[in-house]
Amino acid sequence: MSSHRSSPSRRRVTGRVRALLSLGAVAFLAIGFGAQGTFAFWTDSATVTTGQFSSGTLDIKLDGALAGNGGITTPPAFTLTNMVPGESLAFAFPVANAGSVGLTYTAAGTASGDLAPAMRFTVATGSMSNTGSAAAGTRAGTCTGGTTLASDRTFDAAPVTVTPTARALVAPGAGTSSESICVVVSLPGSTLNEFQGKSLTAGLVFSAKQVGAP
Amino acid sequence: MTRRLREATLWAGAALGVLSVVAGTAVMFFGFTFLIFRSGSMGPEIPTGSLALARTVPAAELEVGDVVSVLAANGARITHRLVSSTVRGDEASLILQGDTNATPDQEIYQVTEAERSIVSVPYAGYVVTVLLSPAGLLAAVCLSGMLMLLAFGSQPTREGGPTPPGGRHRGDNPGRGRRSIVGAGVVATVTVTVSAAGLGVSGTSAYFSDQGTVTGANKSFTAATIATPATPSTKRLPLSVTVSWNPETSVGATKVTAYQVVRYTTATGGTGTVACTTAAPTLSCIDGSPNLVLPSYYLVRARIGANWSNDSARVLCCSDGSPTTVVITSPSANEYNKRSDLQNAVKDACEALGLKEDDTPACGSATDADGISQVAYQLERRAIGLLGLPTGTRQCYDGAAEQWSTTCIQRAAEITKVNATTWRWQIPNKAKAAYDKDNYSYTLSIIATDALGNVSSTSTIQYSVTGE
Repeated sequence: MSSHRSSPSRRRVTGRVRALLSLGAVAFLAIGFGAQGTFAFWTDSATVTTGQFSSGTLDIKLDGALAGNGGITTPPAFTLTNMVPGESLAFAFPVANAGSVGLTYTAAGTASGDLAPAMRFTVATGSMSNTGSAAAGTRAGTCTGGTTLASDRTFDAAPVTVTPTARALVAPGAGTSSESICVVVSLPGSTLNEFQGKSLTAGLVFSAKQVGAP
Repeated sequence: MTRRLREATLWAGAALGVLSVVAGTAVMFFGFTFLIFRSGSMGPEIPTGSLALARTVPAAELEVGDVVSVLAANGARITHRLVSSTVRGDEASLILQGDTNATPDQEIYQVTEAERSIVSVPYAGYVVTVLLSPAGLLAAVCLSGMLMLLAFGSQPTREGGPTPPGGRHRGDNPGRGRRSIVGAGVVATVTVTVSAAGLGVSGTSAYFSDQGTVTGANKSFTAATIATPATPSTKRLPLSVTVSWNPETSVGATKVTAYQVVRYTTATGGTGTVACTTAAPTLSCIDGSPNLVLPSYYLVRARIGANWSNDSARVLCCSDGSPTTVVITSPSANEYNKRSDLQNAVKDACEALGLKEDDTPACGSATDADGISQVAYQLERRAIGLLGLPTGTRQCYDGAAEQWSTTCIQRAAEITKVNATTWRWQIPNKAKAAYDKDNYSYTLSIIATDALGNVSSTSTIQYSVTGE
């Protein structure tokens, strides 16, 4: 405008420019928000706008152990020595979601040792029941009260998946966050003579991931 | 104070707007992307709610350790750290793993390009998310509108003078219309710019995973071993063999479900025949095979289930529980002067034993609790030469043929049962035919076989006829 009013004028214009610039943010948000559902990526952002953040932790606990990430637990009861053909052991343990987000898990069996080709593994949900005596050679284990996930499998060094589909456990407090998994380790009556005195080490690997993870 | 607040508000609004424009430009023209972390598996470096600036790069340029954002097969955007990359042509197979995850993602991502995170700011994602919500938009509109009022609606104020906020003198402002046009233009430009900017903001997930293993202790499952059974003992009966054994101890006899007795014809090797089977805990069984081939060897086989077994050592059948006694009643181990003396001595002794007169060159008895099946004899003679020493050819007597020959073998004696355990034996034909010459010395050997096939030791006597 006029030179003698330059100082207040400059200040006022600068303020106006700044105000106009602030419209950029409004436009950004307006366009961004208004565009959702139009572009594929906003399918993601739609989730963002609802404010869903998965803070917290994911932790699968096995047999009450293995808090935190990873690990191996060795339950003393998961053992049967001097098995004769026809004997079996059932072992049940809780699989629990100890994190703060829902998870899905799959389980896979492994075994190492000379006895692996002979031993059969059945995995089910539910609780265990063991009867018989070692002296009589009649030890027998069964899983009760659940559904069978895998029946009479052989395990070896490469993991064998025993869960037909991934199993879900919600976060604690939101529903069923724990279930009992039962495994029957059996030496069939038809086991060949060459397996006398052989042994194996068996394991079940539980891989958990956040719900929705690829 | 109020003016400072006004200035600060104007600057903040302007900064936000400029930031939006810059961001939009970057996304639209330079391949940048904003990532909002919706979960925390990349913590603690990139916690939940972080906002990251990423730039799209060809897959081949990705390096291990980069924080890479890809789209998973289920459409979710995953941002994890690159563990390994296998490049084939312009496509790469990426294995990603969250920093807090113990294991890599199960999915292997096939990509030709991916967003590489350049820098991340904690909590900024929350701010952006709030701003992107309707409430945030409303807030921004209000802020912007307020700034408009501040900038366009207020009178210029004197230096240092207090200015009432929101003073309205808009009607006096001669430049209002022109400025509105300028403002609309700016808004339009920003709108176009930001249309693209919206495309560049992606929510991304850094998914958690966890893996645990339940395992038995090392070699926690073992198969039993059947202990080697003790070598059995055998006892022979006329038409069978009884085999018995002791229970094995190291595993426990109760685990053995059955025993088998196996018969062989050799001490090692060969093919065995299962002679008899018994269920545990019975510890003996009888091989009723009537035609036993000697020698026979037995072992006991402990069994568990259908296929498990363990064999004892083999034992030769069979120990003789009742040794055979062989008696040579006549002749005696004497030196007879004449052959008639020998003949008479035999006749008298053997008649006393129950034989007919002058019926045999030699007789005796054999006793065995199992009974006698066979008695064999071998009667040799040699001429007596000078100084009483044997001379000439050895001859053996064949009683059945009633002649001496040089064929020296065991020949069957005649046997007669006296009672359950005692048999009488005699060499066939007459003593006079056998002892037909003087000056001979004789050696008589008798061997008996009992009813089980056990052969006795040999009984031998020597006698002679000098012929004086």
